Amino acid sequence: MKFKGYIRENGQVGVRNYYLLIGVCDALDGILDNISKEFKDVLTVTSEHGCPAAGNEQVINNLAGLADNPNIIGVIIVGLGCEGVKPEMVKKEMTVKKPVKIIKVTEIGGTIKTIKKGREIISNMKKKQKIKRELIDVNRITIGVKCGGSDTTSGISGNICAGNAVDRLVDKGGTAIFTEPIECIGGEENLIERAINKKVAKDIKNTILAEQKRWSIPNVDIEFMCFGNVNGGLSTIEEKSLGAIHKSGTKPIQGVLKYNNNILEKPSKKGVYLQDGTMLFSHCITHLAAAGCQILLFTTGIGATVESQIMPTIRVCSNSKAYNNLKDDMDVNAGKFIDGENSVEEIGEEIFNKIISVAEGEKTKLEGIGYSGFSIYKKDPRLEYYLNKY
Amino acid sequence: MNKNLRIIKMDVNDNVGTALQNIKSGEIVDIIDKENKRLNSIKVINEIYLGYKVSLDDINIKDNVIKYGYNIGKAYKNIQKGELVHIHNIKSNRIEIPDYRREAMMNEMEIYKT
Repeated sequence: MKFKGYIRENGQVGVRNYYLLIGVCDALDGILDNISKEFKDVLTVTSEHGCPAAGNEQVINNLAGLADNPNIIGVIIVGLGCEGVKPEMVKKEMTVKKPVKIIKVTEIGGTIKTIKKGREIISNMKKKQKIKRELIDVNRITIGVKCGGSDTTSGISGNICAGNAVDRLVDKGGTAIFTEPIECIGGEENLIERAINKKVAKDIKNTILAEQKRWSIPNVDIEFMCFGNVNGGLSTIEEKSLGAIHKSGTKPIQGVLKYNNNILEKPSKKGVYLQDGTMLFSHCITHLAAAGCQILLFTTGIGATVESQIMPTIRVCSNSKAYNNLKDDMDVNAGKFIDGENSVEEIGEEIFNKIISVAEGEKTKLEGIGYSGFSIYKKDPRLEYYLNKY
Repeated sequence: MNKNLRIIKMDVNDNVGTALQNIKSGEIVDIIDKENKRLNSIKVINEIYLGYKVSLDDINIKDNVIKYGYNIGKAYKNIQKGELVHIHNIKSNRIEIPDYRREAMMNEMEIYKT
Protein backbone atom coordinates (compact mmCIF):
# COMPACT_ATOMS: atom_id res chain seq x y z
CA MET A 1 0.00 0.00 0.00
CA LYS A 2 1.25 3.47 -0.84
CA PHE A 3 0.60 7.03 0.32
CA LYS A 4 1.69 10.45 -0.82
CA GLY A 5 4.46 11.83 1.37
CA TYR A 6 7.62 13.88 1.12
CA ILE A 7 10.84 12.04 0.31
CA ARG A 8 13.82 14.01 1.57
CA GLU A 9 17.27 14.11 0.02
CA ASN A 10 18.57 12.39 3.16
CA GLY A 11 16.17 9.48 2.59
CA GLN A 12 13.70 10.45 5.32
CA VAL A 13 9.97 10.47 4.68
CA GLY A 14 7.97 13.37 6.10
CA VAL A 15 4.25 14.14 6.21
CA ARG A 16 4.61 17.87 6.96
CA ASN A 17 7.27 20.50 6.31
CA TYR A 18 8.41 22.56 9.26
CA TYR A 19 11.53 24.47 10.22
CA LEU A 20 12.77 24.11 13.77
CA LEU A 21 14.28 26.90 15.82
CA ILE A 22 16.14 25.54 18.82
CA GLY A 23 17.23 27.66 21.76
CA VAL A 24 19.86 25.77 23.73
CA CYS A 25 19.08 27.57 26.99
CA ASP A 26 16.06 28.91 28.80
CA ALA A 27 16.80 32.58 28.13
CA LEU A 28 16.08 32.54 24.41
CA ASP A 29 12.29 32.39 24.11
CA GLY A 30 11.91 36.04 23.12
CA ILE A 31 14.44 35.78 20.33
CA LEU A 32 12.90 32.58 19.04
CA ASP A 33 9.34 33.94 19.19
CA ASN A 34 10.39 37.08 17.35
CA ILE A 35 12.02 35.07 14.57
CA SER A 36 9.20 32.58 14.21
CA LYS A 37 6.29 35.02 14.24
CA GLU A 38 7.23 36.10 10.72
CA PHE A 39 6.54 32.58 9.41
CA LYS A 40 3.73 30.02 9.56
CA ASP A 41 5.91 26.94 9.40
CA VAL A 42 8.59 27.65 11.98
CA LEU A 43 8.38 25.80 15.32
CA THR A 44 10.38 26.82 18.36
CA VAL A 45 11.79 24.86 21.25
CA THR A 46 13.87 25.96 24.20
CA SER A 47 15.10 23.97 27.16
CA GLU A 48 13.46 24.74 30.48
CA HIS A 49 16.31 22.92 32.20
CA GLY A 50 18.84 25.73 31.90
CA CYS A 51 22.20 25.67 30.19
CA PRO A 52 24.66 23.46 32.13
CA ALA A 53 25.86 20.55 30.00
CA ALA A 54 26.58 17.85 32.60
CA GLY A 55 23.28 16.35 33.70
CA ASN A 56 21.48 17.81 30.68
CA GLU A 57 22.46 15.10 28.21
CA GLN A 58 18.82 14.05 27.87
CA VAL A 59 17.89 17.62 26.92
CA ILE A 60 20.56 17.68 24.21
CA ASN A 61 19.34 14.32 22.89
CA ASN A 62 15.73 15.49 22.79
CA LEU A 63 16.66 18.69 20.95
CA ALA A 64 18.77 16.72 18.44
CA GLY A 65 15.97 14.16 18.07
CA LEU A 66 13.43 16.89 17.28
CA ALA A 67 15.86 18.32 14.71
CA ASP A 68 16.13 14.82 13.22
CA ASN A 69 12.34 14.40 13.02
CA PRO A 70 11.32 13.71 9.41
CA ASN A 71 8.72 16.52 9.47
CA ILE A 72 11.56 19.03 9.99
CA ILE A 73 13.28 20.27 6.84
CA GLY A 74 15.65 22.88 8.24
CA VAL A 75 17.11 23.70 11.65
CA ILE A 76 18.52 26.81 13.28
CA ILE A 77 20.19 26.39 16.64
CA VAL A 78 20.45 29.58 18.65
CA GLY A 79 22.75 30.10 21.61
CA LEU A 80 23.63 33.09 23.77
CA GLY A 81 27.27 32.09 23.47
CA CYS A 82 27.99 31.42 27.12
CA GLU A 83 26.07 28.19 27.63
CA GLY A 84 27.35 24.85 28.79
CA VAL A 85 25.01 23.23 26.26
CA LYS A 86 26.55 24.56 23.05
CA PRO A 87 24.56 24.62 19.81
CA GLU A 88 27.34 22.48 18.32
CA MET A 89 26.59 19.73 20.86
CA VAL A 90 23.02 19.50 19.61
CA LYS A 91 24.17 19.44 16.00
CA LYS A 92 26.70 16.71 16.80
CA GLU A 93 23.98 14.45 18.24
CA MET A 94 21.84 14.71 15.10
CA THR A 95 21.86 11.50 13.08
CA VAL A 96 20.49 12.70 9.74
CA LYS A 97 21.80 15.27 7.31
CA LYS A 98 19.66 18.32 6.71
CA PRO A 99 20.26 22.08 6.55
CA VAL A 100 21.43 23.25 10.00
CA LYS A 101 22.66 26.74 10.92
CA ILE A 102 24.05 27.92 14.23
CA ILE A 103 23.81 31.50 15.48
CA LYS A 104 25.05 32.97 18.75
CA VAL A 105 23.81 36.24 20.22
CA THR A 106 27.15 37.36 21.61
CA GLU A 107 28.96 36.66 18.34
CA ILE A 108 26.39 38.42 16.15
CA GLY A 109 26.22 41.49 18.36
CA GLY A 110 22.95 41.34 20.25
CA THR A 111 19.33 40.32 20.33
CA ILE A 112 17.97 42.51 17.52
CA LYS A 113 20.69 41.42 15.12
CA THR A 114 20.14 37.77 16.02
CA ILE A 115 16.42 38.05 15.28
CA LYS A 116 17.18 39.65 11.90
CA LYS A 117 19.78 37.00 11.10
CA GLY A 118 17.45 34.18 12.09
CA ARG A 119 14.71 35.46 9.78
CA GLU A 120 17.23 35.79 6.93
CA ILE A 121 18.46 32.22 7.39
CA ILE A 122 14.94 30.80 7.31
CA SER A 123 14.01 32.82 4.22
CA ASN A 124 17.10 31.48 2.47
CA MET A 125 16.40 27.89 3.54
CA LYS A 126 12.88 28.20 2.15
CA LYS A 127 14.14 29.32 -1.26
CA LYS A 128 16.20 26.17 -1.62
CA GLN A 129 13.49 23.65 -0.68
CA LYS A 130 11.93 21.46 -3.33
CA ILE A 131 8.59 20.36 -1.88
CA LYS A 132 6.39 17.89 -3.70
CA ARG A 133 4.50 14.81 -2.51
CA GLU A 134 5.36 11.46 -4.05
CA LEU A 135 4.00 7.92 -3.70
CA ILE A 136 5.80 6.05 -0.94
CA ASP A 137 5.17 2.73 0.78
CA VAL A 138 3.06 2.93 3.95
CA ASN A 139 5.81 1.01 5.73
CA ARG A 140 7.65 4.35 6.01
CA ILE A 141 5.05 5.65 8.46
CA THR A 142 5.91 5.74 12.17
CA ILE A 143 3.21 6.81 14.58
CA GLY A 144 3.33 7.63 18.26
CA VAL A 145 0.43 6.33 20.32
CA LYS A 146 -0.54 8.10 23.51
CA CYS A 147 -3.61 8.27 25.72
CA GLY A 148 -4.64 11.15 27.91
CA GLY A 149 -7.64 12.36 29.81
CA SER A 150 -8.40 8.67 30.24
CA ASP A 151 -11.49 7.26 31.88
CA THR A 152 -12.95 3.77 31.90
CA THR A 153 -14.38 4.18 28.40
CA SER A 154 -10.79 4.58 27.09
CA GLY A 155 -10.12 0.91 27.84
CA ILE A 156 -13.43 -0.26 26.39
CA SER A 157 -13.43 1.55 23.05
CA GLY A 158 -10.80 4.22 22.23
CA ASN A 159 -7.66 2.31 23.09
CA ILE A 160 -8.93 -0.98 21.64
CA CYS A 161 -9.90 0.72 18.36
CA ALA A 162 -6.56 2.60 18.25
CA GLY A 163 -4.82 -0.74 18.85
CA ASN A 164 -6.74 -2.20 15.92
CA ALA A 165 -5.45 0.65 13.71
CA VAL A 166 -1.91 0.04 15.02
CA ASP A 167 -2.25 -3.65 14.05
CA ARG A 168 -3.31 -2.62 10.54
CA LEU A 169 -0.32 -0.27 10.16
CA VAL A 170 2.11 -2.90 11.48
CA ASP A 171 0.62 -5.54 9.15
CA LYS A 172 1.52 -3.22 6.27
CA GLY A 173 5.09 -2.88 7.53
CA GLY A 174 4.76 0.36 9.50
CA THR A 175 6.00 1.25 12.98
CA ALA A 176 4.22 2.34 16.15
CA ILE A 177 5.74 3.57 19.40
CA PHE A 178 3.77 3.57 22.62
CA THR A 179 5.20 4.85 25.84
CA GLU A 180 4.26 5.73 29.42
CA PRO A 181 5.71 2.74 31.33
CA ILE A 182 3.82 3.96 34.42
CA GLU A 183 0.65 3.09 32.53
CA CYS A 184 1.93 -0.43 31.95
CA ILE A 185 2.02 -1.18 35.69
CA GLY A 186 -0.35 -4.11 36.10
CA GLY A 187 -0.33 -4.90 32.39
CA GLU A 188 3.11 -6.53 32.28
CA GLU A 189 1.83 -10.02 31.62
CA ASN A 190 0.20 -9.08 28.33
CA LEU A 191 3.19 -7.02 27.15
CA ILE A 192 5.79 -9.63 28.11
CA GLU A 193 3.87 -12.30 26.19
CA ARG A 194 4.23 -10.12 23.09
CA ALA A 195 8.02 -9.63 23.38
CA ILE A 196 9.92 -10.99 20.35
CA ASN A 197 12.51 -12.66 22.57
CA LYS A 198 13.61 -13.16 26.17
CA LYS A 199 15.82 -10.07 26.21
CA VAL A 200 12.97 -7.83 25.13
CA ALA A 201 10.70 -9.51 27.71
CA LYS A 202 13.25 -8.72 30.41
CA ASP A 203 13.65 -5.13 29.18
CA ILE A 204 9.88 -4.59 29.30
CA LYS A 205 9.67 -5.96 32.84
CA ASN A 206 12.65 -3.95 34.12
CA THR A 207 11.52 -0.71 32.47
CA ILE A 208 8.09 -0.93 34.12
CA LEU A 209 9.50 -1.91 37.52
CA ALA A 210 12.00 0.97 37.40
CA GLU A 211 9.12 3.35 36.73
CA GLN A 212 7.12 1.91 39.62
CA LYS A 213 10.14 2.58 41.86
CA ARG A 214 10.30 6.22 40.74
CA TRP A 215 6.68 6.71 41.78
CA SER A 216 6.83 4.85 45.11
CA ILE A 217 9.35 6.72 47.22
CA PRO A 218 8.52 6.01 50.89
CA ASN A 219 6.89 8.90 52.77
CA VAL A 220 6.54 11.02 49.64
CA ASP A 221 2.98 11.64 48.45
CA ILE A 222 2.91 11.79 44.68
CA GLU A 223 -0.18 11.87 42.51
CA PHE A 224 0.06 9.76 39.38
CA MET A 225 -3.62 9.54 38.43
CA CYS A 226 -5.35 12.84 37.91
CA PHE A 227 -8.75 13.75 39.30
CA GLY A 228 -10.25 13.40 35.82
CA ASN A 229 -9.15 9.76 35.63
CA VAL A 230 -10.74 8.91 38.97
CA ASN A 231 -13.84 10.98 38.30
CA GLY A 232 -14.05 9.07 35.03
CA GLY A 233 -14.30 5.79 36.92
CA LEU A 234 -10.68 4.59 37.04
CA SER A 235 -9.86 3.32 40.55
CA THR A 236 -6.27 2.03 40.39
CA ILE A 237 -3.13 2.31 38.25
CA GLU A 238 -3.55 -1.35 37.25
CA GLU A 239 -7.02 -0.66 35.86
CA LYS A 240 -5.77 2.42 34.03
CA SER A 241 -2.82 0.45 32.59
CA LEU A 242 -4.84 -2.54 31.46
CA GLY A 243 -7.07 -0.14 29.53
CA ALA A 244 -4.14 1.91 28.26
CA ILE A 245 -1.97 -0.89 26.85
CA HIS A 246 -4.71 -1.85 24.38
CA LYS A 247 -3.66 1.17 22.34
CA SER A 248 -0.45 -0.67 21.40
CA GLY A 249 -2.44 -3.31 19.54
CA THR A 250 -1.68 -7.02 19.62
CA LYS A 251 1.45 -7.39 17.46
CA PRO A 252 4.88 -8.53 18.72
CA ILE A 253 6.91 -5.94 20.65
CA GLN A 254 10.29 -5.45 18.96
CA GLY A 255 12.04 -3.76 21.84
CA VAL A 256 12.15 -1.09 24.51
CA LEU A 257 13.52 2.24 23.32
CA LYS A 258 15.94 3.17 26.06
CA TYR A 259 16.12 6.65 27.53
CA ASN A 260 18.83 7.80 29.89
CA ASN A 261 21.81 10.18 30.01
CA ASN A 262 23.59 8.23 27.30
CA ILE A 263 20.86 7.53 24.78
CA LEU A 264 17.50 8.46 23.34
CA GLU A 265 16.91 5.33 21.33
CA LYS A 266 15.03 5.22 18.03
CA PRO A 267 13.46 2.16 16.39
CA SER A 268 15.98 0.08 14.46
CA LYS A 269 13.35 -2.13 12.82
CA LYS A 270 9.68 -1.92 11.83
CA GLY A 271 6.89 -2.92 14.19
CA VAL A 272 5.78 -2.03 17.72
CA TYR A 273 8.09 -0.50 20.34
CA LEU A 274 7.66 0.50 23.96
CA GLN A 275 9.49 3.74 24.72
CA ASP A 276 10.87 4.34 28.19
CA GLY A 277 9.44 7.75 29.05
CA THR A 278 6.81 9.74 30.83
CA MET A 279 3.02 10.03 30.72
CA LEU A 280 3.06 13.85 30.94
CA PHE A 281 1.58 15.05 27.67
CA SER A 282 3.87 17.70 26.26
CA HIS A 283 7.00 15.98 27.58
CA CYS A 284 5.85 12.66 26.16
CA ILE A 285 5.08 13.98 22.69
CA THR A 286 8.43 15.79 22.47
CA HIS A 287 10.04 12.47 23.27
CA LEU A 288 7.95 10.57 20.68
CA ALA A 289 8.78 13.18 18.05
CA ALA A 290 12.46 12.92 18.99
CA ALA A 291 12.24 9.17 18.36
CA GLY A 292 11.07 9.91 14.81
CA CYS A 293 7.26 9.70 14.83
CA GLN A 294 5.57 11.62 12.02
CA ILE A 295 1.99 11.37 13.34
CA LEU A 296 0.47 11.10 16.80
CA LEU A 297 -2.54 8.95 17.59
CA PHE A 298 -4.09 10.26 20.79
CA THR A 299 -6.95 8.55 22.58
CA THR A 300 -9.07 10.13 25.26
CA GLY A 301 -12.07 9.33 27.42
CA ILE A 302 -12.89 12.56 29.17
CA GLY A 303 -11.99 14.50 26.04
CA ALA A 304 -8.52 16.02 26.30
CA THR A 305 -8.19 18.42 23.37
CA VAL A 306 -4.48 18.37 22.69
CA GLU A 307 -2.35 18.53 19.56
CA SER A 308 1.37 18.24 18.90
CA GLN A 309 3.00 20.96 16.80
CA ILE A 310 5.38 18.68 14.98
CA MET A 311 3.23 15.53 14.62
CA PRO A 312 -0.32 16.10 13.35
CA THR A 313 -2.48 14.55 16.07
CA ILE A 314 -5.51 12.34 15.49
CA ARG A 315 -7.77 12.50 18.53
CA VAL A 316 -9.86 9.41 19.12
CA CYS A 317 -12.67 9.97 21.61
CA SER A 318 -13.86 6.93 23.56
CA ASN A 319 -17.48 7.84 24.28
CA SER A 320 -20.20 9.71 22.43
CA LYS A 321 -20.99 11.98 25.38
CA ALA A 322 -17.50 13.57 25.29
CA TYR A 323 -17.42 13.38 21.48
CA ASN A 324 -20.68 15.27 21.06
CA ASN A 325 -19.53 17.90 23.54
CA LEU A 326 -16.21 18.31 21.68
CA LYS A 327 -17.18 17.53 18.09
CA ASP A 328 -15.14 20.44 16.73
CA ASP A 329 -11.99 19.02 18.33
CA MET A 330 -12.28 15.23 18.07
CA ASP A 331 -11.25 13.46 14.86
CA VAL A 332 -12.79 10.01 15.45
CA ASN A 333 -15.63 8.85 17.71
CA ALA A 334 -14.78 5.37 19.03
CA GLY A 335 -17.79 5.75 21.33
CA LYS A 336 -19.82 4.34 18.44
CA PHE A 337 -18.60 0.95 19.63
CA ILE A 338 -20.09 1.50 23.08
CA ASP A 339 -23.31 2.70 21.45
CA GLY A 340 -23.45 -0.59 19.54
CA GLU A 341 -23.30 1.21 16.18
CA ASN A 342 -19.91 0.01 14.92
CA SER A 343 -17.52 -2.85 15.59
CA VAL A 344 -13.91 -2.44 16.75
CA GLU A 345 -12.85 -3.55 13.25
CA GLU A 346 -14.91 -0.81 11.60
CA ILE A 347 -13.63 1.94 13.87
CA GLY A 348 -10.06 0.55 13.64
CA GLU A 349 -10.32 0.83 9.86
CA GLU A 350 -11.67 4.37 10.15
CA ILE A 351 -8.69 5.35 12.32
CA PHE A 352 -6.22 3.66 9.98
CA ASN A 353 -7.74 5.49 6.99
CA LYS A 354 -7.48 8.72 8.95
CA ILE A 355 -3.77 8.06 9.59
CA ILE A 356 -3.22 7.69 5.84
CA SER A 357 -5.22 10.78 4.88
CA VAL A 358 -3.50 12.88 7.55
CA ALA A 359 -0.15 11.53 6.31
CA GLU A 360 -1.17 12.76 2.87
CA GLY A 361 -1.84 16.26 4.12
CA GLU A 362 -5.41 16.32 5.48
CA LYS A 363 -5.43 18.64 8.46
CA THR A 364 -6.49 17.23 11.82
CA LYS A 365 -9.22 19.16 13.65
CA LEU A 366 -6.74 21.08 15.82
CA GLU A 367 -3.68 21.18 13.60
CA GLY A 368 -1.94 24.52 13.99
CA ILE A 369 -4.53 25.61 16.59
CA GLY A 370 -4.73 23.62 19.81
CA TYR A 371 -1.10 22.66 20.17
CA SER A 372 0.98 22.28 23.29
CA GLY A 373 4.56 23.43 23.71
CA PHE A 374 7.70 21.32 23.64
CA SER A 375 8.49 20.31 27.20
CA ILE A 376 11.44 18.01 27.74
CA TYR A 377 11.22 15.05 30.10
CA LYS A 378 14.40 14.51 32.03
CA LYS A 379 15.03 11.70 34.47
CA ASP A 380 16.97 13.40 37.23
CA PRO A 381 20.37 11.64 37.13
CA ARG A 382 20.76 12.16 40.90
CA LEU A 383 17.50 10.38 41.70
CA GLU A 384 18.33 7.64 39.18
CA TYR A 385 21.62 7.02 40.97
CA TYR A 386 19.95 6.50 44.33
CA LEU A 387 17.12 4.43 42.87
CA ASN A 388 19.63 2.10 41.28
CA LYS A 389 21.64 1.92 44.47
CA TYR A 390 18.84 1.02 46.86
CA MET B 1 -28.84 -3.20 18.93
CA ASN B 2 -29.53 -3.98 22.57
CA LYS B 3 -31.37 -0.93 23.95
CA ASN B 4 -31.50 -2.20 27.53
CA LEU B 5 -29.25 -0.72 30.20
CA ARG B 6 -25.90 -2.48 29.93
CA ILE B 7 -22.79 -3.31 31.93
CA ILE B 8 -19.81 -4.65 29.97
CA LYS B 9 -17.75 -7.55 31.32
CA MET B 10 -14.39 -7.41 29.53
CA ASP B 11 -13.24 -10.98 30.37
CA VAL B 12 -14.96 -14.18 31.55
CA ASN B 13 -12.98 -14.14 34.81
CA ASP B 14 -13.91 -10.57 35.77
CA ASN B 15 -15.74 -9.88 39.04
CA VAL B 16 -16.52 -6.29 38.04
CA GLY B 17 -18.26 -4.82 35.02
CA THR B 18 -18.36 -1.28 33.62
CA ALA B 19 -21.59 0.68 33.17
CA LEU B 20 -22.20 1.79 29.59
CA GLN B 21 -24.69 4.44 30.70
CA ASN B 22 -25.95 5.97 33.93
CA ILE B 23 -27.89 3.47 36.06
CA LYS B 24 -30.19 4.24 38.97
CA SER B 25 -30.16 2.33 42.22
CA GLY B 26 -32.40 -0.73 42.05
CA GLU B 27 -32.43 -1.03 38.27
CA ILE B 28 -31.90 -4.40 36.62
CA VAL B 29 -29.38 -4.23 33.80
CA ASP B 30 -27.95 -6.59 31.18
CA ILE B 31 -24.38 -7.84 31.47
CA ILE B 32 -22.79 -8.06 28.02
CA ASP B 33 -19.42 -9.30 26.79
CA LYS B 34 -16.97 -7.52 24.47
CA GLU B 35 -18.86 -8.80 21.43
CA ASN B 36 -22.03 -7.12 22.71
CA LYS B 37 -23.55 -10.53 23.54
CA ARG B 38 -25.95 -10.61 26.50
CA LEU B 39 -24.65 -12.91 29.26
CA ASN B 40 -27.17 -12.39 32.09
CA SER B 41 -28.56 -9.58 34.17
CA ILE B 42 -27.91 -8.02 37.56
CA LYS B 43 -29.74 -5.76 40.02
CA VAL B 44 -27.65 -2.69 40.76
CA ILE B 45 -27.86 -1.49 44.37
CA ASN B 46 -26.24 1.98 44.08
CA GLU B 47 -26.49 4.77 41.59
CA ILE B 48 -23.81 4.09 38.95
CA TYR B 49 -22.55 6.59 36.35
CA LEU B 50 -21.39 5.80 32.84
CA GLY B 51 -17.93 4.23 33.07
CA TYR B 52 -18.14 3.32 36.75
CA LYS B 53 -17.70 -0.25 37.91
CA VAL B 54 -20.27 -2.59 39.40
CA SER B 55 -19.47 -5.71 41.39
CA LEU B 56 -20.71 -8.82 39.59
CA ASP B 57 -20.21 -11.02 42.68
CA ASP B 58 -19.82 -10.57 46.39
CA ILE B 59 -16.19 -9.51 46.90
CA ASN B 60 -14.74 -9.97 50.39
CA ILE B 61 -12.26 -7.67 52.06
CA LYS B 62 -8.70 -8.42 50.78
CA ASP B 63 -10.07 -10.27 47.72
CA ASN B 64 -8.61 -9.37 44.35
CA VAL B 65 -10.69 -7.31 41.96
CA ILE B 66 -10.51 -8.68 38.42
CA LYS B 67 -11.09 -6.69 35.21
CA TYR B 68 -9.82 -7.48 31.69
CA GLY B 69 -8.99 -10.90 33.24
CA TYR B 70 -6.27 -9.33 35.38
CA ASN B 71 -5.90 -8.14 38.95
CA ILE B 72 -6.67 -4.40 39.20
CA GLY B 73 -6.46 -4.11 42.99
CA LYS B 74 -7.77 -5.33 46.33
CA ALA B 75 -11.01 -4.74 48.19
CA TYR B 76 -10.46 -2.91 51.48
CA LYS B 77 -14.12 -3.27 52.39
CA ASN B 78 -16.61 -6.06 51.77
CA ILE B 79 -18.42 -5.40 48.52
CA GLN B 80 -21.87 -6.78 47.69
CA LYS B 81 -22.98 -8.02 44.30
CA GLY B 82 -24.42 -5.05 42.38
CA GLU B 83 -22.53 -2.45 44.41
CA LEU B 84 -20.46 0.46 43.09
CA VAL B 85 -16.74 -0.45 42.98
CA HIS B 86 -14.38 2.52 43.16
CA ILE B 87 -11.80 4.24 45.34
CA HIS B 88 -14.03 4.02 48.45
CA ASN B 89 -13.73 0.22 48.51
CA ILE B 90 -10.71 -0.86 46.43
CA LYS B 91 -7.00 0.05 46.42
CA SER B 92 -4.08 -0.65 44.10
CA ASN B 93 -1.66 -3.49 44.82
CA ARG B 94 1.12 -1.53 43.12
CA ILE B 95 1.08 2.21 43.86
CA GLU B 96 -1.51 3.71 46.15
CA ILE B 97 -3.18 7.06 45.69
CA PRO B 98 -2.05 9.18 48.69
CA ASP B 99 -4.77 8.95 51.37
CA TYR B 100 -5.35 12.69 51.60
CA ARG B 101 -5.81 12.87 47.81
CA ARG B 102 -8.18 9.89 47.90
CA GLU B 103 -10.34 11.74 50.41
CA ALA B 104 -10.12 15.04 48.54
CA MET B 105 -11.18 13.35 45.30
CA MET B 106 -14.10 11.61 47.01
CA ASN B 107 -15.26 14.95 48.45
CA GLU B 108 -15.21 16.45 44.97
CA MET B 109 -16.94 13.60 43.12
CA GLU B 110 -20.65 13.77 42.39
CA ILE B 111 -21.12 10.03 42.87
CA TYR B 112 -20.27 10.31 46.57
CA LYS B 113 -22.76 13.13 47.07
CA THR B 114 -25.79 11.13 45.93
